[in-house]
Amino acid sequence: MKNITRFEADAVQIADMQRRNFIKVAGLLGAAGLLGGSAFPALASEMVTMPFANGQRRLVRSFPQKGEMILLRTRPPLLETPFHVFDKGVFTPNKLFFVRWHLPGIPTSINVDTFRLRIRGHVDQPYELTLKQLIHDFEPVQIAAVNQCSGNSRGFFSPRVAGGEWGNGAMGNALWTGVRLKDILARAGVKAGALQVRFNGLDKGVEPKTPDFMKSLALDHAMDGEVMIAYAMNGKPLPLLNGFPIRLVVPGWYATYWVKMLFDINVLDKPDENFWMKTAYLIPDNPAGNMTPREQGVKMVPINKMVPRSFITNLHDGAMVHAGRRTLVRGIAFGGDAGVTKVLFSSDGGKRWEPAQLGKDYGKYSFRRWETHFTPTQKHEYRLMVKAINTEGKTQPEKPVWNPAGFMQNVIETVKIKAV
Amino acid sequence: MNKSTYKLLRVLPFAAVLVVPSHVVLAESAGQVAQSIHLKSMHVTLPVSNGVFKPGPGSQSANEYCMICHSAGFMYNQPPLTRATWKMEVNKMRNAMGCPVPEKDVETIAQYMYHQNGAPAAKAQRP
Repeated sequence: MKNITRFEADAVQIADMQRRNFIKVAGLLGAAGLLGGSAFPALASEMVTMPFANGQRRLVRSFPQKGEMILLRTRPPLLETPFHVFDKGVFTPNKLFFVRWHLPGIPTSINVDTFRLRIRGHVDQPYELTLKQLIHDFEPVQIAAVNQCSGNSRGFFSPRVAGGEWGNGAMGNALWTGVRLKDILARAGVKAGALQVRFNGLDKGVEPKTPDFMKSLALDHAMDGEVMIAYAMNGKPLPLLNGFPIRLVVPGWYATYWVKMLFDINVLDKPDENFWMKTAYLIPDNPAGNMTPREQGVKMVPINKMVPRSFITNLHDGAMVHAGRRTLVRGIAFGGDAGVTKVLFSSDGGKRWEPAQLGKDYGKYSFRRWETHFTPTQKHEYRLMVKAINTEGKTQPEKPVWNPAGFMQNVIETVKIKAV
Repeated sequence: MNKSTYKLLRVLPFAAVLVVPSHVVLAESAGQVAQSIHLKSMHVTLPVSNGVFKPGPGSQSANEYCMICHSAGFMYNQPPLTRATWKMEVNKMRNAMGCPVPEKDVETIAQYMYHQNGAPAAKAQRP
């Protein structure tokens, strides 16, 4: 418990520092009230513009262990992966992996010797683990899995909704190394009557009434042997902003469940009614999470499994290609909570589809690269489209998904290019 | 960049086959990672935003309360929202997120947000 208090103190210290800093800066600025940029105009930063209202974003290199990222919010951090990164390889480098925190009290110091993972609740033997014990006392496992924000692509929603206004870069693919949650729970001995397992990370709010961020999984799911506690990402320790020292990995499910800086596993004998399960992160109760904006009385359930998505990564909207030349089109796809069985490509706005060639299979939860060629015979605009079909026969919709929170977008993507 | 660095950079593409690009995952097994990984205690500094709300009626309250938990830019990169939606958002902060904003300031802040980043209800796409 001692180290939790220390992190709490850290979090409060951070908040106080930031508050004092703001007051200082606000005083300096006075009536000028600069917004959104540095107080020192000389430090101008590069911008990108997303193709939706209020889509201007700074590119920043100012976050620890992170390269150039699209800044959505400084505090708590929301950092988007620049989309060109997805064309470079099937795994997303740790330093370019997107970042999403809910609460401002993020510990900025982690002591690996005093850190403890505690397992408690409706179990025979609650216990604690040091990081060394976690790594060495349990069988290591590894899985390639896509981590995607529930609200990835929210900026493209129509009609627009409030929230983190991501482009398509709130996702990443990594090879996660860790231990099975099942094995961790088995040591504690889950008692009959256990219903769910709740996960808590070290981050917290700075106001006493802010609900702590906690997520729960059904017991069967938690025990499925695939849900794991990861201490490595692409072979290296997790960046602090991606959850150092350990995080939950829930393959095939949206990233909201992948609790970062995991320190507390609490087996529950009642359904978790905390805000972040009961009120936040709900979707319409259908596999697509879809509804219409004026629909009333829609039954909502906690968001859960991901759905198939695919993207063209080597050509962006407005790209120009040579008419008459055989042109490479490539990208990534993922099946959601199942593997990719097929990726289909269309160069005529969806009238005709042809299978693309699939790259190496890193497992059902991983990105899968794909590529194909087409020859734009005419000098005009081409609407390139791509769709993925997963091993359960699920594919992507032609019409965009909509729900009030802006979750689960997986519409068939279109890239408009011009042959000249 | 000096001459020798420039020369090195020209050679690098050819050296690429020898150097594993950072985005390629080394084919280490789970066991190998477990054996070799070394977690070290960490300390980082997170950047602080200098952004503040632009002056206007209600900006003082916005600066005082909204910035307790998150930087100001987040509100400016929302899509333009209706008056009703801004009010709902401010109430959500107060009721669900533990923001200590007094009830009497909710309307002021919602109005301010609407003037900073608002869409008329008739023209705006719902919600």
